[in-house]
Amino acid sequence: MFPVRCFTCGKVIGDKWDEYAERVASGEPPGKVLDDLGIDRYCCRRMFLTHVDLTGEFSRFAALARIDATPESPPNV
Amino acid sequence: MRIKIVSHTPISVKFVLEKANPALANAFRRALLGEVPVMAVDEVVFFTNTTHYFDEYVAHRLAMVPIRTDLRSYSVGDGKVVTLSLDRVAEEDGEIVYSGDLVSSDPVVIPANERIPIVKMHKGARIKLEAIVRMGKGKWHSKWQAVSGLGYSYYPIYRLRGGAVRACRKYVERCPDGSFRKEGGDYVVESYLDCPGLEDCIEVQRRRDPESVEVEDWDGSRFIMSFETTEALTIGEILVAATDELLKKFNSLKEKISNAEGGG
Repeated sequence: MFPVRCFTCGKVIGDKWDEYAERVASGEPPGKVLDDLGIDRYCCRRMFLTHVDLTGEFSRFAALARIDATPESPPNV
Repeated sequence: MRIKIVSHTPISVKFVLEKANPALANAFRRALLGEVPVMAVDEVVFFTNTTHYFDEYVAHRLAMVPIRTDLRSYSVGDGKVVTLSLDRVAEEDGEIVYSGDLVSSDPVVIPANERIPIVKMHKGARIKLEAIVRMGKGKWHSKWQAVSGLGYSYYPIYRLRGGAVRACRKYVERCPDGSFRKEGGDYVVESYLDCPGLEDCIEVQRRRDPESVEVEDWDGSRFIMSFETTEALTIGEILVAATDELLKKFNSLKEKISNAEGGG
């Protein structure tokens, strides 16, 4: 999951990831999206530029190890 | 010490600290960073957590969420707490719990930002917790920090030459009396922030022709400070609280010195 705060300066950035990811996926240049979102400092910008969302990846394996895994909740692929 | 606001938005501010000195400016910076009382999640009780995330991970994310602080009803060390509770069963895969889903025991003290994702859940997962919110100070833990991106610099006194004089003349001419003077063909600008548009002009000119813009001196009695709020408190509340805390410290020092003198 995307961090709630910038590691370096502490700015709240958690709420801005969804919009960023959506707009970049639709083809907008990341730099421009960050400018629009008011992410000015390079410490905060790198938080967005370098983030890789692995939640979908690891939940596949976590599901297999789950104690309460039931047939009606199959691994999330 | 005097604070002159240069520009501000609801979440950020830039101001000049006047009639100060480097020691006072740094003391004020440290007061803003570490002494302003703010509320944050300090303890989390988990009843159930069958999501893919560890309790500690969720607790840490909760602590980072800024909480709208009520300075009138709460103070540091008063023992009062607010609880934020959450009980959620995911009906779909990929359901996200947001900070806005937390239910507070005090309608005033709520997450300042409702759109922060806390955990992503899979179908059938359940999370039930109670987060205990306490007042604290930034010097104890950064979750209690009211500001981000805080910094200051000495006030630059610019000398504009040749190209910069031509490019920025119209802005310098609009400066209030006493904020600039002419020297030969140059402009020496004492207070460039008092002149509308001049800051941008200097910035553009410095990139185009670095030779034409020179910082003649750095004024050690004026400081340009800027910071952003995490929205736990407003900009005004932060400035007032930081000044109060600083004054409290000065007064307690004064008292201790006079006691020592009296007792000596």
